[in-house]
Amino acid sequence: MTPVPALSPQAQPLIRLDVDAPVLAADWAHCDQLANFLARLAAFDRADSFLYGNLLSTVLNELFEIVFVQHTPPGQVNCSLWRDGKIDRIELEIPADDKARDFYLGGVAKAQAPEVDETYTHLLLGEGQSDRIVGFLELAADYDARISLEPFAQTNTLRLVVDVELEPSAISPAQAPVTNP
Amino acid sequence: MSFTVRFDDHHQEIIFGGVMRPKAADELQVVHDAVKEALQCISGTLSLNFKRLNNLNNVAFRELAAIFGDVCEQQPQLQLKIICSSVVGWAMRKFQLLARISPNIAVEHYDRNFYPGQRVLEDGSFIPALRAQTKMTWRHERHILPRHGLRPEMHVADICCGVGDFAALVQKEFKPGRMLALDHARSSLDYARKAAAESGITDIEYIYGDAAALLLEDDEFDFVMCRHALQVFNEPELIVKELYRICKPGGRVYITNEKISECAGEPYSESIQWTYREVAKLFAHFDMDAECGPKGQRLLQEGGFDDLKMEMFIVTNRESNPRDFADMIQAWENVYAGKMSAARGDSPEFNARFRRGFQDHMATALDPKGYAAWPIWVASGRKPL
Repeated sequence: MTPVPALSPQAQPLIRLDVDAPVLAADWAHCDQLANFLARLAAFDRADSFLYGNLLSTVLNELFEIVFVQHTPPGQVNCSLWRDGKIDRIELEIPADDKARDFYLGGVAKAQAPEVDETYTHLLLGEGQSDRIVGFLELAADYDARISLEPFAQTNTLRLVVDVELEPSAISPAQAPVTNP
Repeated sequence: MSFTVRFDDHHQEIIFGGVMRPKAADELQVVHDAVKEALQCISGTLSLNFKRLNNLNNVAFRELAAIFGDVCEQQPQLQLKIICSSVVGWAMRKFQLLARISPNIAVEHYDRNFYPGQRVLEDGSFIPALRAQTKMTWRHERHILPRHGLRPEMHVADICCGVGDFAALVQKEFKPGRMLALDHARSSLDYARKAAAESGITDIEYIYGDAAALLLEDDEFDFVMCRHALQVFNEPELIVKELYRICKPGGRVYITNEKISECAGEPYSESIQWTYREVAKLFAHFDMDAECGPKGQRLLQEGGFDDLKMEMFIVTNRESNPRDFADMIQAWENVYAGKMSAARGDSPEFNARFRRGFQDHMATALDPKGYAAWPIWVASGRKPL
């Protein structure tokens, strides 16, 4: 288990979406639809809304696909997006029993392990059974995401937090002086 | 989930598009079928074109890796070329992994060098020329655009927007309901965003994209502009096809292009004419067509448009600020007689004569008795209902 890093006082909540777990799990396409919907909303003021939205959709979809398979109804899945400087925070509250909790703890631990790149590549290209934790590994290996997890025993919920920087950092200054049109 | 997979035997490639996020691998039977079809009729290299695949989940990626791995094992003489675009942010890092499966798999970042003039036009050195050009043409085009159908509240796209100043001017003057400006030069987009932010313009979407493989939806815009861009691509018809696709039925596509050899000046007309004819040849050397202007109507007609409109306007030093005109020529000289001429390997003697024409054109522009002209061709067409 990893404590969730505190956000700075400047952090801004962007969107919160609450969905009944059985509703989410009623159709696999909901993962794609919710990921795209949230990503489009969050992308509206980004320097390159398409590029950013596409990456955020990829990250959200992997998380929703994990939750689709690993949650324990009844209850609600809550998804909040925050922006803290260059960091985007995705926060998911997931109804989870002990078995689901063990899955998330195991997945997040592997995503935080030093050999995450090797594990990720092996799971993607290896011949064994697919493993849903590959989504966590992708976020850590490909997106350098910081993943944290807090279980709440009293409410049988988990708080999964992914901090990730999705804006291209290499926006070089233009070579000519800027003159407003 | 909606994706397409299609084998194109003419180009020996399987083209993937859309959103590929299946729940289970068995939903990808269509990929198996396309690969099977391809293997029956190709030899050498099979291209796997992912330029238009917007999204891919790990379920699909694992299955693709397994399929391609099997192909490499069963047909060791075959090369697989994965083609992906930098426009899709996740694609390159993800597909690079496939190269680990077999030495027969290569991953190509196709738009790193996808049109011949790209290196010259996208490195930022062309920004002063783009700015100067817009300054000169806007006084004409603000009156021309309504004749070609631009109205307030329309959803407008400026494809190949350059430094975005034209989109900003359209935004101010015509108050579109939506304004999207797209370019493949990151340096130009950086400039555009900075300029927009400093002007307090917040309602233009500046997007990194490839005009020949846009990831925008079909039928999305009422008015699609593409200015001075078809002339720098070696396959302008591919872009026209995309402009057509994103334009709504009943909407219009508006293009402008030059016929650079028609640039004129008096005095020094011979030197000026010689240089601009050489500019046309220089562009042709890099597979670009600086003589494209009058071909606009034909390009649109062959692209499926109707209700075609075509006109021409001339930017001169008489109706514009002569200093602006001279600055534009200076920017051209810097790029054409600078990097481009050097890249072609021109001799110092040729280069000196080449530069002379630009300098004479600048002199005519600044001469109170001189006349300097730069003609532009405008064409537009309607996407049939």
